[in-house]
Amino acid sequence: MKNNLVLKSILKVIRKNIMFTSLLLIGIIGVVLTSLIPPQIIKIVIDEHLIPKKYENLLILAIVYFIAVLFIGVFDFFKEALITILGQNVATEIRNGMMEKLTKVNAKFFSNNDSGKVVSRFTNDVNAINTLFTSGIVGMMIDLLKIIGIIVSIWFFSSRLGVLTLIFLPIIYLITRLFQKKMLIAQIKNRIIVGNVNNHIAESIKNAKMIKSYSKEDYMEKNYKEYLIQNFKTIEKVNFYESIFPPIIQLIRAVVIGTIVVLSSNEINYLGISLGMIAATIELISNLFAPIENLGMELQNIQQAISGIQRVNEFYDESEDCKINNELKLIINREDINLDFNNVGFYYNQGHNILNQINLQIIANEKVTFIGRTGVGKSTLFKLILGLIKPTEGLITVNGIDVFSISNKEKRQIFGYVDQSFNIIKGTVADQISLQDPSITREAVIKSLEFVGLSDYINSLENGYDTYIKHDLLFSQGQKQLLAIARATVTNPPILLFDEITANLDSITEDKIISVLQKASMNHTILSISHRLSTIIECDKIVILENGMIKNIGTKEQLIEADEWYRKHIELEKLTWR
Amino acid sequence: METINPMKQPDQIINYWKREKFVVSCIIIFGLSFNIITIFGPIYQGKLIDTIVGGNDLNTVIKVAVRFILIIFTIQFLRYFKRFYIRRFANNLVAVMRLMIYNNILHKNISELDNENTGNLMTRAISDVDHCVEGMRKFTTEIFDTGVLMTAYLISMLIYNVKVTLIAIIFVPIAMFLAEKLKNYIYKYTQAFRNKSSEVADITYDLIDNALLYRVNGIDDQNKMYYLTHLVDLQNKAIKAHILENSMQPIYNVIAMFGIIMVIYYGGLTVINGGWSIGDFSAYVTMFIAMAVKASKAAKLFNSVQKSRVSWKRIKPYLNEYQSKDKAVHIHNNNTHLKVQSLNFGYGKELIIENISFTGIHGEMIGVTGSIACGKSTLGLSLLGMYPYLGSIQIDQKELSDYTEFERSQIISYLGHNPNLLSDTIYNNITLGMDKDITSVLKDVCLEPDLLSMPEGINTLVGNNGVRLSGGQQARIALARTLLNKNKIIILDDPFSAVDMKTEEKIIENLKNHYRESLIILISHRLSIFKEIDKIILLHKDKSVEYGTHNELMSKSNLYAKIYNLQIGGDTSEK
Repeated sequence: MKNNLVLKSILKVIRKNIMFTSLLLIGIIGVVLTSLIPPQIIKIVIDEHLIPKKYENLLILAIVYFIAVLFIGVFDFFKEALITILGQNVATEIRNGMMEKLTKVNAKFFSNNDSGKVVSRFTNDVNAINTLFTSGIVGMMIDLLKIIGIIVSIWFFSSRLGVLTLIFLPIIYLITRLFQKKMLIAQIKNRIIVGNVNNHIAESIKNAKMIKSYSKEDYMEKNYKEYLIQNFKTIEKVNFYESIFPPIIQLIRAVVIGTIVVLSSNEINYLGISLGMIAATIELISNLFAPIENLGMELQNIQQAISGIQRVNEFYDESEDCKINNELKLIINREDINLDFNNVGFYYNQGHNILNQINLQIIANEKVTFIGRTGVGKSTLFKLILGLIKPTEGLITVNGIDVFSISNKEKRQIFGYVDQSFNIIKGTVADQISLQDPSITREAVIKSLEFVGLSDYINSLENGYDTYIKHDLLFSQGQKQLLAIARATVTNPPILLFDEITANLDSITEDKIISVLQKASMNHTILSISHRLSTIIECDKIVILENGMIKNIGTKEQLIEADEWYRKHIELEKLTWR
Repeated sequence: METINPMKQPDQIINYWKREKFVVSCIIIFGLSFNIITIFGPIYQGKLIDTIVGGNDLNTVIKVAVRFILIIFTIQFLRYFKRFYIRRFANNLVAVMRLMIYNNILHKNISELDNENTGNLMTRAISDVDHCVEGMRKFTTEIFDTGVLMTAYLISMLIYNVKVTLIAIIFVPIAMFLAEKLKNYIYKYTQAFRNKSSEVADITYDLIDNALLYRVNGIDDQNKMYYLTHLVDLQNKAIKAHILENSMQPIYNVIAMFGIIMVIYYGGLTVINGGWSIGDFSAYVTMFIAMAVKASKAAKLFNSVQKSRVSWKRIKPYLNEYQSKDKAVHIHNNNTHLKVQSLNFGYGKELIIENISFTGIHGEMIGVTGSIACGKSTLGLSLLGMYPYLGSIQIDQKELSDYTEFERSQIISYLGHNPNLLSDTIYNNITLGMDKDITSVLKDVCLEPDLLSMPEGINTLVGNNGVRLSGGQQARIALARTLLNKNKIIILDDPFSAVDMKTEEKIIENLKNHYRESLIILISHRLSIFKEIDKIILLHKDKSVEYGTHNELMSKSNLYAKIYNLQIGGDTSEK
């Protein structure tokens, strides 16, 4: 992967937080080393005090034991805290990098990718990476060090015991892995079933009307029960492994301890260790199991997070628009603005041209309507005009400047775009218009809402312009269209683009929108996609598209004469028949 | 488990323990026996050490070692059953809670469901149930693993030495007390973190979903900064919450372990004075440490029970008595008479259709048409009787609203724009669980040729929302489903928009010929199919209505004639 955002972010966080990183290392080493002390003290207590029956310094040893415990606690606390801090920093860094990418990614990306899935890369995948960093890599490091520390301690007591432990180690590890793998298989199977359960709920809610109108509640519930029972059965399997694994580990521990004691008995005395050492070894061996168990889990976490890393890096590798943002502050006199299409062609996939050889000149204050069948490329044409995508052939220019090279900031001064659907953004009513752009004043927002005739309604809301929009129902379909017009006209751009805006409205709302559009059409160059708009705003030019090409251009009267398809079409439209 | 039985009074949390009598008894038996016998682990470990101190012969040592292993085996054997039954308890709870919530959601009425947020319902039915059960499981476990075990340890430690135990043990409850006190505080911070986390998820969604809008308006740079400030806020909240929730455990452990000084000192003195063997000392130390560790983990228990309580509060409104539809049917099977008189209908205060009257009988086909947003779909939906209406809709001289929901579903079949396919096979999508032969309906909707090209035939899986099929195939499967019962009234709302003209004509032909016992109401904007229909209802945008046959409307309605001629003249199937 040439663009490894995850690795870059981790390195950046480490570099920015050298202090924390080194403290974390100290914490890790501290925890590992101090955890080895208590068993040693028990050894000393038994060997040097209890057996010879000497009580001098016993209190001091007891206190030292507690101090060791205290230090383990303190180191552990700092280690945990620092891992959290660094891990969260990494997550922020990755998300920030992804957002940076989002503003540059090719506009195509949004038509190919469902928003929900992209959001899940920002949230779930980054969370998985965070777990990988905190409980995966760092955890693994700690556990490996702990295991080494324990073996070294045991080795000091007796090299034979050390060898014995080394033999036990892989056996315990293999048993652990066996169980973990079995559990993972059952869990993966269960995840699919859980997916079915969830899907069934979602489907039932979505199709509730159908289910009720057919009285199929029992059928749906029967199927749901079947999924629940499958879920129960796989969980039962996981439960079996989960229930039996810790007892088995404890049993192994008992066997190991029994063996050590037998080997150290006076008759065999194979290990040649003191009683205190035996007691200490028992504790050390007991401490060995937890890191081994963790190691397996950490490996698993890492495996699972890898797919998250891949998805994030893949996103970071998405192709970008190679944009040269001309910040040349276009000073355009709205009286002599003109828009030129010079042999424009466009395709997403080579060989499947959506648009071909579009040649057109639009002058200031001209009103142009594009019509044609669905899928003929009208909306694509608008995206090209707005410079969201780059023509694969030819050029679109505003007063000679390639629209694709105009910076996004300046675009809002030139184009106002009204979409067929109004996207409510997070925020207040005023935010819907300004999009929280600080350069747009409150007065401008109010003025544009007055212009579309919504100010009375908005003033009637609880907090007026500052009403926070919680759900979709605050505005009707028609009001949303008016909001969209206000949003597009708030900066008073010379060119307005209307994309299919009066579809599916009742007549009263439509009349209102028409009057607003008529007002807006003064002093603006207007490009619209719609059949119906051609009958609403006086159109200077109608462009009929067919198969991605311009089939006919002319005034309404000319086209009614010349184009039979147009003639029929306009009739049906007048009657608002779909 | 072969089936899941619904339960009574699911809104009383105690009933979930009562319901699982067998499993709960097993938990009690194994929980008690395991935790009591657990104390023999350290005791025998001590004895094992003492055999070496005593310099016993190999045979004795081996005997004691084997006994130690057997004791541990018994303890762990009981532990397995305790763990298993506590998990089965949770597993049973999840199943029954999910079932009860699902049943509840399905039996809500349509307007209630319209007001519910799908995402919310999903969270209730899935993650809230999980959290709630997790807390109930931990609570049940810890009654034994903390309550019984600590008592058992305490008693045996007291038997070993009353004085040492009393002095050393004071700090254990202090650690637990602190954890319990911090619980609310921790909850506040984790809640702040969770809220922020979902806020950031919302913001992320907003920025991604509206990315092009922001780009067109040049807000993208500003949004980057805005996003970063929220990320940093999230980061700080996450750090606070995580540190409090996870990093505190070592601190509790230190507090609980303070008594170890007394244990080692006084315990050592007891050994030196001959009161204890070294094995007793080792056993005592092991027990004390185990108790301290248990105490330091109490915080986790408190937090999880707290979380569970919140989830329980959220799912409780969805835990009502189990419902099932009344399946008694009082309908006349032959001869259908529909009489609609001055019907007014709207979803809110505003009426969408006004003053509609018409009649229909079996064997008839009634066409409904009109311009965009004239209310033709609404008319179709109102005839289902799912929503309240004004005026009268009589079927066989009985008011529609007087029929039960089940009866209505047996009288009327409805198909809207949405094919409403479930992710199952074609056969199951059509029969919805009935054991019926579908050959004739497949023929009626002209699906047979399509099925020939599918290797699995009627057992082909349609995918989520039917994605694996073409729009036309989806529509025809949905139509087959609607037709399967040959109900008295069949309402079809523009089901052919994705079907080509020829197939459409063929299907309508089939409907006319094979469904003579039914009254068919066909809603469409394509007038060509109305040519041979006796009754047509033409809705106008101003809410006025015209009635008549095709020929009558051709002569008396300007709009109708105009549209018909325009549509016949050219292909206007799009837009």
